Amino acid sequence: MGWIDWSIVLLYLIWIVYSGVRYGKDAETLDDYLLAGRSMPWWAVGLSVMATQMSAITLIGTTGQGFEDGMRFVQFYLGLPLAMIILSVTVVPFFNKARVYTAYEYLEKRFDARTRSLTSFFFLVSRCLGVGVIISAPAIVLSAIIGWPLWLTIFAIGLTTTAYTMFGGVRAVTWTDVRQMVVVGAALVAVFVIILGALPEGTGLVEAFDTARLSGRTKAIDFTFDWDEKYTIWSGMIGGLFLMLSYFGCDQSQVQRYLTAKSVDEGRRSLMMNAILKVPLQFGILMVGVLVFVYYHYQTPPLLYDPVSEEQIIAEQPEVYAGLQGEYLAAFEERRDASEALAVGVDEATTATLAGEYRAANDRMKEVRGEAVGLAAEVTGQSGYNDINYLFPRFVTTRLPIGVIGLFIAAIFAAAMSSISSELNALSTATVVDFYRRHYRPEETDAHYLRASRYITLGWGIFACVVALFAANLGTLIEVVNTFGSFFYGSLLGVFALAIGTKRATARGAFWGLLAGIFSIALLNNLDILAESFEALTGSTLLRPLADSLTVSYLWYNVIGCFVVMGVGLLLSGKRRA
Amino acid sequence: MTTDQTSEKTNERNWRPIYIGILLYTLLLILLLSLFSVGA
Repeated sequence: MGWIDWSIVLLYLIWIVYSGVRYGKDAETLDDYLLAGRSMPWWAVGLSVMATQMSAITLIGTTGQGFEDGMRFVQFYLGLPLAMIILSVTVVPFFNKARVYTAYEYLEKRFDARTRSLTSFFFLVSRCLGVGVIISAPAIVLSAIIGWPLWLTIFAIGLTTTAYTMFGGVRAVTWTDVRQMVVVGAALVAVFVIILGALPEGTGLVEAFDTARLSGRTKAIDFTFDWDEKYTIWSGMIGGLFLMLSYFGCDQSQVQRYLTAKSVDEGRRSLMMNAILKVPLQFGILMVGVLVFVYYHYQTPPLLYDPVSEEQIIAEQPEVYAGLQGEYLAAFEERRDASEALAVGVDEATTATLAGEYRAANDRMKEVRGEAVGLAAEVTGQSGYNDINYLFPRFVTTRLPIGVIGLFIAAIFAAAMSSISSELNALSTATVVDFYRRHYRPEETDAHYLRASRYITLGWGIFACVVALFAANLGTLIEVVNTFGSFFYGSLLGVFALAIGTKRATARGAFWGLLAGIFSIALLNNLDILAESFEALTGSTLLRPLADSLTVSYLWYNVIGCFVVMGVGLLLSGKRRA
Repeated sequence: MTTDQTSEKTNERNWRPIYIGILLYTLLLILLLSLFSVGA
C-alpha cells in the first residue's frame, strides 16, 4: 500500500469520527441520544438498517463464499422481503405507538417486568461477546493484509467507533451509517468495474458467467428439500423468513434504527427500502466473488489466501509447500486451457469433452488446496483453519490499482464500524433503559440517564475491544455464546408473536414458553452429545436413531423455536380471558 | 373513536398495494435467479 492508499484510509477515519462526534451537541436529552427525537428520514433509517446488518465479515466473507461456493448463499435473504412486510404491519406501529426505547420494554407493557428483563438479559448476553467478534474478525484479516499489529487494527476499528457512538448517540450512528454505506457501495462498484476490465479481451460479464457456470457457481436457486442442507429456497424462504423476522423485529440493534423514524409511515418506508435493495445487494457482493473466481482463470491464483500463515508454511515446510504449488499450477494451466478452448466455441461433442476436462482440473485444484489448508492447520496449530476471509482483501491489495486499495480498506473499516456502532448503541440502551433505570435508579433526572448512557457506551466499547484482543483465546466461549444466540432468536420471535399476535397469552405463558423454546433448541442442537452420554452411562443406543435422524440446519432453529414458545406459551396461558 | 384517531386513520397511507408490489417483486427475483441458475 502506498501513501495515497494510507491517506484515503486516514481521511476516512478522520471524516467519520469528526462527523459522528459533531452530532453530540444535538443530543441534549435521553430521547435525543437514544432515539434522535424520533426525527430521522426514512432513507437514512433504511440505509442504517442495511449498514447495521452488513458487517465487514459480510463484505469479505460473502465475496469469499461467492468465490468458493457460487451464488447459492443469496437464498438466505429470500425470506427478507416478506419479513419486512410482516414487520411493517405488526411491530412498527406497535412499537411506535407504545413509545418505547427498547423492544423489550414493550413486553413489560404487554406481559410483565420479568419477561422484559429476561429477554433483554438474553439480548445483552448474546450480543456482548458478539460485538467483540465483529471487531476481531476484520481486525485479524486487516492485520495480516496491511501489516499493522493486531492491537492497532482492533483499536482503530473499536475505539474510533466507540468515540463517535458515545458522544453522538443514535443520530451519529445513523448518519455515519449512511456515509459508510456510500463508502462500501463505491468500493464494491470500483472493484467490480476494474475486475471486468481486467478480464481478457472478448470476455465480458456474459462470458464470465459462462465460465462460472461450468463449476456450478451460477446456481443461485436450489429447489431440493433437505432439512440438513444449509441453503435451499425452502430454508431461505421459511427459515430465513423467521430469522429475519426475529433479527429485524426483536433484536434491539435493528429495532432501535426504525424507532428513530419520524413516523410509522417513515419507519415502514425504511423497511420497504431494505426489502427492495437487500437481495440485489447480496447478489452483487456474491457476483464480485464469482468474478474474482473467473479472473483467476487467467491469472495464477494463490494457493493459500492468508499471507502470514503462507509465509510460516514456506519457512517450516518449504519442500512440501513447493510440491503442492507445482501441482496446483499444473491443474490451473489445464483448467485455463480447457476454459479458453471452450470460449472459442466448438461442436457439441468437443464441448462435452472440454467441459469434462475443465471439471477434472477444477476438482484437482480444489483437492490440492484442501491439502494446503490441511498443512496450514498443522503448521499453525489451528484445527479449524479457514482462510476464505483473506481471499478478497488479498486479491484487492495485490491486484488492484493505487487508490482503489485505499478505498477498499476504508470500506472494510466502514462495514465493521457501521455494525459495531449500532450494537454498542443498542447494548447501552438496553442496559440503561431495561436495567439501570428500570431496576436500580428509577427516579433520576433525564440528564443523569443521558450521562449514564454515554459512560455505558464507553464501557461496552472498551469491553468489546478487550474481547476482540483475546478473541483467539476465547474461541470456545465465543462459539458457545454465538450458538446460544441462534437458540435464542426463534424463541424471542415466539414471545413477540405471543405479545402482538394473541390476546390470550399471559405473562406466565410467555416467560415459561421462552425458556421452553430455548431449552428445546439447545436439546435439538446437542442431540448427538446427549445420545453419546446416554450410551456411555446406560450402554443403551436408544437415542442414537433419534439423534441421527433429527439433523436440522440452523436456519430451521428459528422456526422450531418460535413454534415451541407459542405452543407452550398458549398452553400455559390457559383459557381465553374474559 | 376520538377525532385524533379518525384523522390519523384517514391520513395513513394505504400500504396494501405497496406490499403486493414487494411480493410480486420477490417472485420476480426468484424467477430471475432461477433463470440465472439454468445450466449450472
